[in-house]
Amino acid sequence: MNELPISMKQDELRDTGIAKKPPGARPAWEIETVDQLIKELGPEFAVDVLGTFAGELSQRLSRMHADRTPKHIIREAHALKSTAATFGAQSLSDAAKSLELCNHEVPNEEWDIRVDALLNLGAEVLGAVQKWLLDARGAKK
Amino acid sequence: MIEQAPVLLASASVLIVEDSASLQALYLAYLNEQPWQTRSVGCAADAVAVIVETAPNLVLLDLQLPDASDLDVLTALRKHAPDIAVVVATGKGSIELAVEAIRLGAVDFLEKPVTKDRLVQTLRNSLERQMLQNQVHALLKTEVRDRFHGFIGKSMAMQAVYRTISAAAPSKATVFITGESGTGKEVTARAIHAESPRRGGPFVALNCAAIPRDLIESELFGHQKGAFTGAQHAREGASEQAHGGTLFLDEIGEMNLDLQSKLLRFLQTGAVKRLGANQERQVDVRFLCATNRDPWMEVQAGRFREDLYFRLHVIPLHLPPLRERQDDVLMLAEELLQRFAREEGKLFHGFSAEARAAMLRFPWLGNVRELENVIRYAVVLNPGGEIGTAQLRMEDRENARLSPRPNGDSVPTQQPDAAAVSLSQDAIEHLAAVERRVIERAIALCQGNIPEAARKLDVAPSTIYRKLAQWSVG
Repeated sequence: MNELPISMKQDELRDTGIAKKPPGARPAWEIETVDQLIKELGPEFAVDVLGTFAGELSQRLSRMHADRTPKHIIREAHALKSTAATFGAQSLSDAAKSLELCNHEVPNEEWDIRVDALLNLGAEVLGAVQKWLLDARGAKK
Repeated sequence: MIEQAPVLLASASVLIVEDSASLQALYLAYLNEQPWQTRSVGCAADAVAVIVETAPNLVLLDLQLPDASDLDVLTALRKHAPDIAVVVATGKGSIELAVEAIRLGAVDFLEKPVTKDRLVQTLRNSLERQMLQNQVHALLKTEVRDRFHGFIGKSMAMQAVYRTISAAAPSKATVFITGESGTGKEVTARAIHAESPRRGGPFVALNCAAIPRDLIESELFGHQKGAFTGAQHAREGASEQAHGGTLFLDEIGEMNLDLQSKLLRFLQTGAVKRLGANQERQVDVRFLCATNRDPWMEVQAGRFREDLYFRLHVIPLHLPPLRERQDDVLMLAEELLQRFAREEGKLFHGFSAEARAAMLRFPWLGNVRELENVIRYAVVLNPGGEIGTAQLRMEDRENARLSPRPNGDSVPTQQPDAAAVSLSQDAIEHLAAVERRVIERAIALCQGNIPEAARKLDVAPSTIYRKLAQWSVG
């Protein structure tokens, strides 16, 4: 995922629903969700489920990166919207929803910015989840 | 159509249809503590395959799958598996879609993201609702029937008979019907045939008591031309006539032991050999048999082959006597009154209260056949109106049972009356002797017409034929 475009200008993110977080804004991945999952499922199930989420997110981001046709991106964004919200990535969910709703009825340039922003945010969430998983699995060992 | 078994909550099965692998994993983890069998698939095609294969009790359905448009799967489910409860899962802000899903038959919806408590509670509620619905359907299916393939009666005893007939009919297993004369053994056999997949085939009934013993084998298996004196043409027997259908052997206890062994071989091989023939013919027949005796007692007495008994006694079905169907007596009487009145072109207005009470008290030893005779008698001899006790003349029937003896005594066949009790014990005869004298007198009074004598005696002709055969041997 390192090849994803992560250097976007602040003004490019304006009106995309994923504006750069000001200081104190909620993180891309809300760790409270993990606490809730551990509470509901126990640590082992939580790690398993979050591992599945990380794998799925990685695949979706790769597919969106490889195929940027609006139809494909919208389908992935739709799936990402619910999944991200469920696992505590509310900003990613909002960005996916915004992309899905605009339905490519925006200029191509703006569409590209929105897609890039979504991919960027997805990579951020993925990095956070993978780091947590690494720590959790290391702690288990 | 996929049919659902009644749901017990603890043994329910749930299918999750969700294209997100992580949501599948999460939902499975959420439901891990539930007693339900839970599995998941990621697309509509897999969902259809699992539903057809396992008929789950509930489907949690993501409405937007990669290989189906929004409501396609739900629409197909409602059409082909209407008993499966469907809970739809929709994305946030898709409330219109959820409403449309409910309109199409979904029992509930969940808006993502779904919490554990919400998921478990929604699925549990939906399963419980389905469980209740199934129980209601089951109750409706087992509603009390007052008519069933020629039977009339809504008593509990007859409900059990109807259920056994329905349950036994689809298989090829032999049904061994027992019951007193007049309880409806042939009606039962015809009902089983009519309910069975063989209903389009022939139903052939052979009354083993009504046919001279030396002719039963020919009647059952057929004969070649010249097989015996008088066999001028080849003739197929009941076994071949029933090919593809049902063969009902009534009064099977009357069959001699030699023929019983041939019947056993036929049951084992399905092969028929006509009398005088060298070749066997294979036939496809479902057997039903009946007797008014206790078949196991017949085995114990050495009159019925034990191996044949066990071959035939697969599904026993005992028909209750009318005296054990008090709830049905008046219903049957009303039905028979209207039927006979139509046949006679008369108009009757039912029974008086006294007549109804009398019918309920009467023991009906001849069962439904005796009730038929009583009602027909009243219809034939009366112009119409209401039937009272005088028209039923049931006292005459009681007295006939205490039929006069040549020396002026009477023969108690029911509760002994005061006159009978007062007699000397020397007057007591063996019951068998009394029965023989009564039957022989009836035959004589009917100029040898056995069916007529049987009708007057309120018994089946087969009963008289059987008695005559016994007496000729003894």
